Amino acid sequence: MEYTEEQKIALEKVRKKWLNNFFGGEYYKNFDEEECRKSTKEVYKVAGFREPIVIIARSLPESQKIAKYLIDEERTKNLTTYESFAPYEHKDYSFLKDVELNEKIVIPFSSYANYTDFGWLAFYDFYKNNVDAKSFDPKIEEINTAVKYTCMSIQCEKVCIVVKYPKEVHVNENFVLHNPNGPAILFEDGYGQYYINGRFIPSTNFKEAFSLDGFKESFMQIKNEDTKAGMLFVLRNKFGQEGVMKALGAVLFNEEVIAHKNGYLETVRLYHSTEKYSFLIDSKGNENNPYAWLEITCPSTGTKYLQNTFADFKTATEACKFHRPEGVPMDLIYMWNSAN
Amino acid sequence: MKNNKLIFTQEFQAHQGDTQWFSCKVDVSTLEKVPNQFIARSEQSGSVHALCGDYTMYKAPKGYDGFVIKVNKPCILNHTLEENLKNLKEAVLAPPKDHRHTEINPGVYFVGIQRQADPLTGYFERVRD
Repeated sequence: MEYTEEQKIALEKVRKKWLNNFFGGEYYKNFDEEECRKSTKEVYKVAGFREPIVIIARSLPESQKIAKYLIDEERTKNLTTYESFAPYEHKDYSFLKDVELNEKIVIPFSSYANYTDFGWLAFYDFYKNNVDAKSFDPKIEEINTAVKYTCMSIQCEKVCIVVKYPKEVHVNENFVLHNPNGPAILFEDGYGQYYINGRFIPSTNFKEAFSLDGFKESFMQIKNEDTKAGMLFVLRNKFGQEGVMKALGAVLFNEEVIAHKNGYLETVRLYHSTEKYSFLIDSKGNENNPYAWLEITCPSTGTKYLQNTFADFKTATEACKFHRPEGVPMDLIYMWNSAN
Repeated sequence: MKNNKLIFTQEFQAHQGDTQWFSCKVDVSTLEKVPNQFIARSEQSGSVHALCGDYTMYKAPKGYDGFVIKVNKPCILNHTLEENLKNLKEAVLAPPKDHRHTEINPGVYFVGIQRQADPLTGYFERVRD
């Protein structure tokens, strides 16, 4: 079946709407506590269960703490009926203050009625409004409503712990978690996780990249390549090329003075970091290289610019040739008739 | 299929900031014409690299990142704020932003923006197992 032009436009609109529900924070902003409880109870009803007590958590770890608190061996002796869980439904979160999480023990989240349903619900949203409204079971609407208020949940017989959507989600152009300025995903209670281009960076290491002091010492001790590459990305974002040069230690590798046709003398320099790093690639994709910079000077303003380059260039001129627009052959002479 | 390879003549090579110009030979009738537009634009500063005058712009062939430009009459390459330009048709000198203007004589040129290299981003772009 071919979609009409109108349907194709509608498809794109629906796609953007659903991406915005999560990445744009729409579902977080439009959270409604009463609707959340009501819709969770409806999902249980659809599945043939009695309405649960609904406890709302502001983040994933908070939901784990709530679950851990409730399944505590001593406490479970008294938590046997629906009514016994009820006091926790509207409690503040102070009862969690002494609950410590063990990262190795995770209470499983449910696979139903949460953000993982976005794919088919988005398709349903499009299909229902633009193709055929009749072929769907109206019960889907109950799931759709519950998903609006449930990022994740821990579904038990008598209790359902619902986790609210994150307050902020930052992604790169490929829609993978990415934020060099802070948490890429941030929940309402302040819990966040740090990612660079989809790679998880422990918060301690992320924060170390916010300071040049002592950076290299801690950087050199880290074994994980993703973490190191992420830290360098954060450092470069905050302090620029000069910051990276200072943090890693840079030495002049090659300097050339080029006489151009209009009489202009251009000095270009290549710098390398003192150490090699397994995650840095060269122009041919080989790993384990020093960090490399090309220094050029703007002929109009005299401003010096440092730019990333590859470490396999033997001379500054070779790097300059490479940095011409893609398609210009490397054997074409590096020469300007006019430089401004 | 027509050969769309550019032959770089070395007669004229110029750069204005990170935009670079190379005289070349190519049969422009084999190329796709595009509307005359800025060579580059900075979203942050509002400045543009703009060729002003009588010229025709083409999409560069596959494998070349940029444009092919056939300059019909002497043109001025300005680096200026977008608001300083009324149009791209008149070969006028606009108030410079950061870079001096460049005079471009009639001929055929390949024009592109300086190529970036990032050994760090290259790591992130790799496919993970």
